Amino acid sequence: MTVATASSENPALRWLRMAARQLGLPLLGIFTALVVGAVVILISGFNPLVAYPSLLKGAFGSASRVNNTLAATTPYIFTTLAVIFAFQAGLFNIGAEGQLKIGALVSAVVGINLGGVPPLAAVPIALVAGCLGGAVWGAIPGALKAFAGAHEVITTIMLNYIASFITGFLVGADGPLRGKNMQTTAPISKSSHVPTIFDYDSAASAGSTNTPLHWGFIVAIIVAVILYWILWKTPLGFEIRTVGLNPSAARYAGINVARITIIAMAVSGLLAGMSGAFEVMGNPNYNYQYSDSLGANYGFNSIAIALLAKNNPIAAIPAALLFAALQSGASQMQFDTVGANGTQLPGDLIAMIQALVIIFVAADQILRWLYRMRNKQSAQVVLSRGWGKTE
Amino acid sequence: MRKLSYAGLLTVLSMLAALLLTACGDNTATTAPVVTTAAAVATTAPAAAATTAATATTAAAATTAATATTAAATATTAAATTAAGTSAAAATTAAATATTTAAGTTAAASIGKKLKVGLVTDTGRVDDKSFNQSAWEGVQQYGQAAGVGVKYIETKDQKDYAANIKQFLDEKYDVIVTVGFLMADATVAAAKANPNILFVGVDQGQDPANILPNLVGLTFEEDKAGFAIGALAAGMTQSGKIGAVVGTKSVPAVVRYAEGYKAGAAWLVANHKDLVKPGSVNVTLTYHPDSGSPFNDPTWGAQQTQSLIQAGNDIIFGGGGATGNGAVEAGASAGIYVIGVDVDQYFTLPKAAPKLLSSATKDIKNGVFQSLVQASNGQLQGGNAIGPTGLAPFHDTDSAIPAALKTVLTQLQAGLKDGTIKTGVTAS
Repeated sequence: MTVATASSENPALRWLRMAARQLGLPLLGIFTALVVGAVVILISGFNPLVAYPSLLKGAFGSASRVNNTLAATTPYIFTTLAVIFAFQAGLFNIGAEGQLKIGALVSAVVGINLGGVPPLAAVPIALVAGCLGGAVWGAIPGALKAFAGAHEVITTIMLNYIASFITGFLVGADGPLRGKNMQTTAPISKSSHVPTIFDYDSAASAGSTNTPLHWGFIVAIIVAVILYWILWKTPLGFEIRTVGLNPSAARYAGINVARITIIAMAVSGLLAGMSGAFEVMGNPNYNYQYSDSLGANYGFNSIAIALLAKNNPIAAIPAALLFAALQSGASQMQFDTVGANGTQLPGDLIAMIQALVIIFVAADQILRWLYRMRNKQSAQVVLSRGWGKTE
Repeated sequence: MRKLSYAGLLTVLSMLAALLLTACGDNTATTAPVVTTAAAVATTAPAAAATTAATATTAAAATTAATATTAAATATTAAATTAAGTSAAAATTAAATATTTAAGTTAAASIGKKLKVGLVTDTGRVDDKSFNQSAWEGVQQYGQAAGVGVKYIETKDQKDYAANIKQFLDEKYDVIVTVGFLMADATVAAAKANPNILFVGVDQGQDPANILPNLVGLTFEEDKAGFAIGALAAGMTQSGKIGAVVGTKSVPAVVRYAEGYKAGAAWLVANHKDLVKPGSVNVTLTYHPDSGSPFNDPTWGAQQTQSLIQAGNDIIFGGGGATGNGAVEAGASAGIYVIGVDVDQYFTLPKAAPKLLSSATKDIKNGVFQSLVQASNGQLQGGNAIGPTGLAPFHDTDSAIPAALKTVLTQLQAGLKDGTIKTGVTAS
């Protein structure tokens, strides 16, 4: 009896300690990045003691700010999940950007034509259409890798350009899908708007000047949990992770590597497409229409967020929140932080702090050295594997 | 030893980042204004003040020039017509032009209520050497004149327009200036929701059917500036072929510049055939295909310029942010005459300066400043305001331009201003 209790102490306590160990390094990384950032702010002639509190205030200072930050987190969660899912299969999906655009455009085109359909049907139809658009666009590099051995890094980058040129043409000056304004489609039907959870500003004033939080946020959290379950609790997830760790061994064990590669890329594209679809259908700042500026750099930033989350779908949520908070607090920081002769803190500093967070979390040897931590061999994170066919 | 090198590396890296940042932060407000202020004085100066304006240009002291503009602006109403119309000599030597200043007509020298003014940039830095910077300089000028602090927020992503406007609303600012055509929707939404706050939308034409009392769309008659440089190019071409490499067709201001350029060339051929050496002029307009970043594609601009040169064009007008800059620089380095856009690019593109005939300018700075002065005095009216446009001085190419052509250009601009000459361009 005593042996049993000794080895398995209070499960809640054990979980907590495990979580602390898991969280320790990323938190230290964030802390270190902020300290280095403070030095840079100081050298630039600004006061970090003004800058950081106002960054926090800008991101979480009021209910409306929290709302805004969570709304900005939503698309990041989806695209980060997209990157993570591909990473788990050993595929480096740099194409989330293009998949997001295709998904957004498809959902907009479908949404425009759903005028007479009740919301309960219209929202899922437009959403699924967007997901499928992204999935198809993601499956292309998957198939190219599986059957032709073309490396997904090259093909997804190229498909980003193709997606951008296609959408650019379709909504361009003489494009067939162009709406009233340049580089946008017509607005989607009211019935396909994703409802908001809460919107402080429209309650306070006649019109909204803030981003209301839509149900996509809740869906994002649910999807993260589902992905975790798929990856670690189902045979498919086991196959995906096995292919990710060692495709040769996976093939030897009887796993159809080509099939897994295509599935992983398609699901990754689906998630990116969902991100785009929700932005079109739920984010009023895009005026409920496809806009060609939509999601600029979400796909690329999400690679960094996935790294920060150590490829864990659940950890993607706080990691995405951190990135979104840094961005949504930036304008308050720029507003409050005034140096000599009236200059204001450059907003680019936020990008630098984000980059520092990534550097310290990714290259954790620096942290271990800085804080004199023991060098522990942790599980390796597989990001991508080499060239060649996978059959 | 290993530890030491790590520490060194880290320090060096952070120092580098800091240096980079300081370098970026410093030129935000200090260096550039001098140039444009001087140019602004020259453009708005009436005949009587022409000589003082000239000295101001050479002296180019930032602070005095700023006040000089204020003074000049008040006199514009009375004297501008005579300045542009009669004293052709003064205008040609300075190559300065005063075109429409509807925004400036009612401006008073004194500033009434001191207003808190905030500016939201389009996606870009406040020191972009282009429209964001010009608008911010206008706000700064107001800040200095009124003795109030002014602030800006730089937009990183188009979806943040509303949030950045809201930042100023939360801080109870009186006037919010938003820059760029793309921010029009967000500005209209914010103005509707906040009827007690004044908004100035640069490059945002307002729908005459839906005028908001608290929102002024500051637009510019780019077609007039384009018309003038078109005539200039037609008078300077040897081959009879001139070209334009411009940003996307879906931004009305770009179309107005380019179509005005074409119309201006045709006007010179029709009315002053003796000034057109080849007898006829063929104009080629090349619009960016509108994918990727139409205003940030200098490589494309340079390539299009090279193919236009191969096709025999010997003057290129480059219009549209970095894309146009690429075209202008490529043309100048190939040895042909080029024409810039928006600001006097003699100062912003030094590499192209020796071959730069002129620039089709719009004085965003002055337009913003005038609107803010009006707002101070409670005179700002919702709707559309027309800011001043014109031709930049000829600088290095001055001696190459025939005197007869200069005279015609001066008359042309007077005609454009009083409406006797129409560009016929109706892009909006």
